[in-house]
Amino acid sequence: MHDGPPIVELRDVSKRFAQHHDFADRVAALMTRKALVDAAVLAVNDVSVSIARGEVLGLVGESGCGKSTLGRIVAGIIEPSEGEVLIDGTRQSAMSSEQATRAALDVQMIFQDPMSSLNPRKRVIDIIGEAPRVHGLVSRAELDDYVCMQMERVGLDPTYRQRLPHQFSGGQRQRIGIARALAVRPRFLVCDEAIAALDVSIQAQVLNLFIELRASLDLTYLFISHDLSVVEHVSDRVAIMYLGRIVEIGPTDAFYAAPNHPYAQMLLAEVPRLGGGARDYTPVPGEIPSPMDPPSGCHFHPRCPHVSARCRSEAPVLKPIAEGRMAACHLNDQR
Amino acid sequence: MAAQGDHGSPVLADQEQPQWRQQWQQFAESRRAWLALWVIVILLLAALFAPVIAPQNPYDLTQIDLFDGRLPPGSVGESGFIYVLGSDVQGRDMLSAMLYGLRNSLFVGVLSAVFAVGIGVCLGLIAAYAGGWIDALIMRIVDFMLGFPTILVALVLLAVLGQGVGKVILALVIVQWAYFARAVRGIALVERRKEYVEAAMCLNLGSARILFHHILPNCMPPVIVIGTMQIASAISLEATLSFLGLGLPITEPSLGLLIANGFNYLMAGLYWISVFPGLLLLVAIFSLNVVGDRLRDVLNPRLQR
Repeated sequence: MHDGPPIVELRDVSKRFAQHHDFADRVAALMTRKALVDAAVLAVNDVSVSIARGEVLGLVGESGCGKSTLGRIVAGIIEPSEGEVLIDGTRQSAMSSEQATRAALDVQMIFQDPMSSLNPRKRVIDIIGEAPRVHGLVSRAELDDYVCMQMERVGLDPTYRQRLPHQFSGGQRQRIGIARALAVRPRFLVCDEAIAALDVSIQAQVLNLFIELRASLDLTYLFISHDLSVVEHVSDRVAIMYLGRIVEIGPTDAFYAAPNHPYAQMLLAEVPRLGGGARDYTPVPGEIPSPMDPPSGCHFHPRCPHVSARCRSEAPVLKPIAEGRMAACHLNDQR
Repeated sequence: MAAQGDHGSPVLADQEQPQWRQQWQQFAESRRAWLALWVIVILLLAALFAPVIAPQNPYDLTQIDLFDGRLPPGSVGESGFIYVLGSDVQGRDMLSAMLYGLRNSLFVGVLSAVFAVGIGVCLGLIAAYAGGWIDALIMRIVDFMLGFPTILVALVLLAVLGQGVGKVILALVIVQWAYFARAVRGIALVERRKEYVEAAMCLNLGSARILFHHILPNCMPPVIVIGTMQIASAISLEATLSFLGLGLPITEPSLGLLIANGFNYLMAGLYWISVFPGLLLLVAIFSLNVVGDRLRDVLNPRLQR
């Protein structure tokens, strides 16, 4: 790991998706005499996290918990409603336009669906080469060689650069997506369920590619996944998200040895392990509540076995529980 | 690196050829569409080269002979000229008049559709991409335009504007752009949520580039389909307007005007003055619709086998 400011830092970041009512809605509401409800989802709720250079942070949560939204905020695709994103300790607003462009290119994203994340009408050479050309990273004359180099680096045969995405398999398409991101020389990759849509055999290959690239290109990752065993394999630190909030964050080894938050404990108890023999499957009880109408206090309290009156009224904040570990649970105050 | 199995050649099978060739083969599988396409190509060529292939320039008064008027198809005129499809009241060769009429009809139909596509696609894309009140404003105008019967709007416009090729095209564009705007907005809304657009945003490619280089090409197949259909409806709308006397001026007659000219003599047994231009119009519109239908089948991914 490196010293210096964290490569990416989120400060009190929230993202609210509100449903907007247009004129027709308002007229309809007026005529039916029903009050308009401003439905809003707080997909990311006051999250602060910093990611050091060279680190891999695994972000885990059930679907709908806001982890993809958080990833998109980090990648600059979505603007946060509140809070700020710092790249190398610098605010976006404090940057010159060249710096802002460089900062935007420094953080790239690998997407979940290898089919829809590639423009079906562009050839591989254009998919990979467009952004470096537009941003002047390579000249027109060098472009062909540059794209070939990018393709070789992710394990693709450069002779296929004139083909269209639909002519490749899922794993190959994901490699094209990785090459596209690496072509603008980023220092940080947000991998949003980057291997979840692939066959299990291909998952291992792409995962290993990520690990290789990290070593050879000195990359930092935010590795978003719902799969705890994958995250354990690649991450230095793990963050657990539940309904828009980070409930626990800490070093991978310590976390997997003894998860602190009840939600993390329940998730981890269900990770299949080799050699454990036959075991009853007990899912985390209850369902993930609607993010439109989250439970009061601690969002996890309706499903928590240790629930108390305080959990129903007061939301716990992330507090240090050990060296480099934080968790948001009232139980920690009693110990 | 782990296993190398993922490296080999891309999955090929029947995908060796580029997409457009596959689609072309699929298009040609329908003999009806194939035939209709040929008819359109022949009509286009005939319209383009009308001055060359027409036996007579029907609007050059030195070439027509009043004594040759009202001749039935196949007649030989005073000067030995053979009127294959007969002549009209003024002694014009109907075949030549139809070729010139087809030229005007197709010119107006294609040009108005092209302009309508241009305007509609731009506004539809902007509505989808910008969202908010811009979207609402554009789409309410579209609703407004689509709320009136096309023919009524065109009639009112032409009554206000007056006659002329440019004015007819303008009127047709005004009544047609809304279809494209609505269609393109719908598709663009779907496309802009796809991850390749997010990837382009992440690569900082800029709104204009994302809109026109990434989203637009993926919106084109349905636009081509609607465009084909709209050329057909523009031609028939123009014919209707001409028939009603509000379309092209008498100096540049379209098929609709020819039909209108012969209409008065239909009951007198001079059927050829109206019927032959009518048949040509029918063939042109029918062929365009058949091709449009087939294009819709081929380009719609949900109907892919």
